[in-house]
Amino acid sequence: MIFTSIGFAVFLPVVFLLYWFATKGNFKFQNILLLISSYFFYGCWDWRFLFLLLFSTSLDFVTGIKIHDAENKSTRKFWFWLSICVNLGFLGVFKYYNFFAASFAEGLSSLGVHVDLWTLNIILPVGISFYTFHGLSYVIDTYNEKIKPERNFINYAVFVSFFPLLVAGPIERATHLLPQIIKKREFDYLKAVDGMRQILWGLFKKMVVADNCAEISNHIFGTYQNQSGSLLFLGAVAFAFQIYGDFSGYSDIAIGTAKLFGIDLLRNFSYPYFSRDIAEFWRRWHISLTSWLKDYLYILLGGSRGTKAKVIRNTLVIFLVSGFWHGANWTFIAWGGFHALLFLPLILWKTNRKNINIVAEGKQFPGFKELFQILYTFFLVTIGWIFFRAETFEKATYFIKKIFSFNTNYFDISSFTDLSAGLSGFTLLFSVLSVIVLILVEWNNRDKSHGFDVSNKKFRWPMYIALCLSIYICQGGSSAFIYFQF
Amino acid sequence: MKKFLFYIFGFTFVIILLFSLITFITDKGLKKSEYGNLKEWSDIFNKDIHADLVIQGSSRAWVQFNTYILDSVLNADAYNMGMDGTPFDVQYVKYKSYTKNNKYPKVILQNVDWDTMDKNTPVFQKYQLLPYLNNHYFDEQLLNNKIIPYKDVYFPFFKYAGEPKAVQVGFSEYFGIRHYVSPKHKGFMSVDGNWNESDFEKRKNGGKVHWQKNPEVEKLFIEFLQDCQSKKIKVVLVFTPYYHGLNNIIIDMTGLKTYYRNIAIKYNVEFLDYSLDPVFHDKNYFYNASHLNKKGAEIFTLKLANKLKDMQIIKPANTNQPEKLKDK
Repeated sequence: MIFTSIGFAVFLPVVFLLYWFATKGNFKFQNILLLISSYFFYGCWDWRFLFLLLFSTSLDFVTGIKIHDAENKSTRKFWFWLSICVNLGFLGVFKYYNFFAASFAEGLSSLGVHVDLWTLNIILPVGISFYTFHGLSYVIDTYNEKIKPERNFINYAVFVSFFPLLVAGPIERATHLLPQIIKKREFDYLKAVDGMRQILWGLFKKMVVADNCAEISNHIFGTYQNQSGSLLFLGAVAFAFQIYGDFSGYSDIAIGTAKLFGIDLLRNFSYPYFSRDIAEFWRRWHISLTSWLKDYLYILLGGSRGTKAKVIRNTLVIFLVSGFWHGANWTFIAWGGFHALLFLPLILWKTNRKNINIVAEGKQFPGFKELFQILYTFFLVTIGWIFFRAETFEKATYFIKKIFSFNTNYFDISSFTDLSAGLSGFTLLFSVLSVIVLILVEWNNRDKSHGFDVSNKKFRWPMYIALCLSIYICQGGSSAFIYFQF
Repeated sequence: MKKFLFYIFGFTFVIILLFSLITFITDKGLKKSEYGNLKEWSDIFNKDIHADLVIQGSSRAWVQFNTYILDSVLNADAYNMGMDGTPFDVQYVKYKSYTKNNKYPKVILQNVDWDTMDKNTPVFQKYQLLPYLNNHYFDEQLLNNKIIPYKDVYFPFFKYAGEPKAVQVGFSEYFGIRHYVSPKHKGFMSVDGNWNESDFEKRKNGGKVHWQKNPEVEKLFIEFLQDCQSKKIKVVLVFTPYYHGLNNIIIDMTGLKTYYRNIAIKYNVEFLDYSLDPVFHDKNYFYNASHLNKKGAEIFTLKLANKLKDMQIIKPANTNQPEKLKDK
């Protein structure tokens, strides 16, 4: 079941009404309902993987208690590493085994040794990277004695599988979400209304911005060999807005949905395309993953302390892991590596925390310098997205080379004509208009917690109706969320 | 909570009302429109067709079977039901709707090619089907053949979601802003275009593809042949001309023709293959590799009509039948 389906439009109100009315405010019943609903939500995709989810949840629940109750260090360590190994083992088998097997076979083949390795013919369980990281954060925090283990299985299972965040995050922390689950929740009118607004804005970003831009980027990436350099760059820009609309739209719907149940989830995006440098971009893009990797990996490795060599190593590790987390393909690793190269100068010269305030704070428009910084950062990020989007490393490098090879055909009009012939005029029109609306609305709300925090009462209802109408008429064709594959 | 629910239900009600209004206007406007294939659908549902000979197929039917020529040579009433980008599953629904609402034709010329047995998901130009939903028989055919999703039938106010062209055309027609006039003659559209070499090069660069055969669509095709037999409608399978260069792009074209020939033998229908006719080795008769232009379509239809006349596929309605026109 996906957030943009009719099924979810029926599912959500039913669960909402049962949650607040049938449970009579008893949070234990509410949690049981949330757990059943979450398993139903996940089972709609493929019920067989419910067993994997249940096993992963049970393992971390048991190991959390065993770590806490262990009488000596070695027992604590045993349970800790058991959980880490099994969790990462599942991730390795389901997500990375085929990649490692194929890469290993290719490596041997280049040495003249031909092996025929057994590969798994299985589909990747939706959300495995997300719920595995939920579980890992819980076990690590328990081991580090930051939290006490949860002894009620239902509560813990709701923390792992709460349906708004189950398949594509935000990646929650036990320290943030569990305390909300184990206490009584009251209906908060303002929070619920804000949640509805965030859901509406998320639907707009996904169904109008992302799905229309997807048609352009899919067309250009699909026919990249016939396209001019300028059009390839346009394809990369379209993908930049597609992935932002898609993933931040998903996060908005997830966070908004959780608010309806009185639960606050971690913020995942904070207007990343208004960033003035790459470091700021990474403080604003997929915040829950970045902070997870920072807390559980980067700091563990020593962070930005120590020799320059160590800092470089740590930065490279965190970006490569981030890339690899997204998928078992060299293109994701290259994407991570590309960002590491952009980030390293900032951290080495200690300018990575130069831009921590809100851009053009208190002003209507950015200054000349800020505008240049924003555009330059967006340009770099867009080039990085080419690695993320391309199916192979070779395709990505060909794509980038062509973008930077300025020749007489660079602005070849015929490739623009082909684009308009290959796509409907409405797709092009809606992509441009929706991106303009997205930029204007989010710029206007860049100091707020989400893009559609409408404070002006006069404009609220017309804006709600305008958004609903644009979602109805202008929605694009694609519907799968990109981050489901991770 | 009461306040929240009040606003939510109120807002939902307003939005559904608004969407329903859009749906109502679009439905009405599209039913009046001649845009795309809408006129042919309207003719079917308005029971306006009394054809002796019906042409069915994809775009290779609607731009290649010239109804003027068929009418004049066969002294019959021909109607072209070809639809752009549409494999047989949607064609079958059109056939069922036709025979449900109109007098059975005597003959159906069924265009067959590499796309006929494929399945398009989602259906191409879905908007043309939408104004006629809520017709139980039509809905049933579309749902049974998985051509449109259930939500389009059961949430009618939502059926034009993501269909801006339909809304634009529907509103334009409803409010009289623009009336789209069909350039077709009884479903036939003449395309007066020239060969586009760069288009063909691009198709060649796109790589070789094998013709597709979807078992569900194939089953519908057999059902269609059997249904025609039971209704005493003669069927002629026609493999229309294509530019011979396509033989290097579509793999196993010979196997494809054998496949249709075998079907024709098994179900006792005629199979006419014009794909090997040397006349059509000339690029000047095409506007792209799979479609004849105006001139090419005239030559092809004339050949076909004379052949049908020789076969006496339609018994003359009167004795004043015109002489056979001279073909190339």
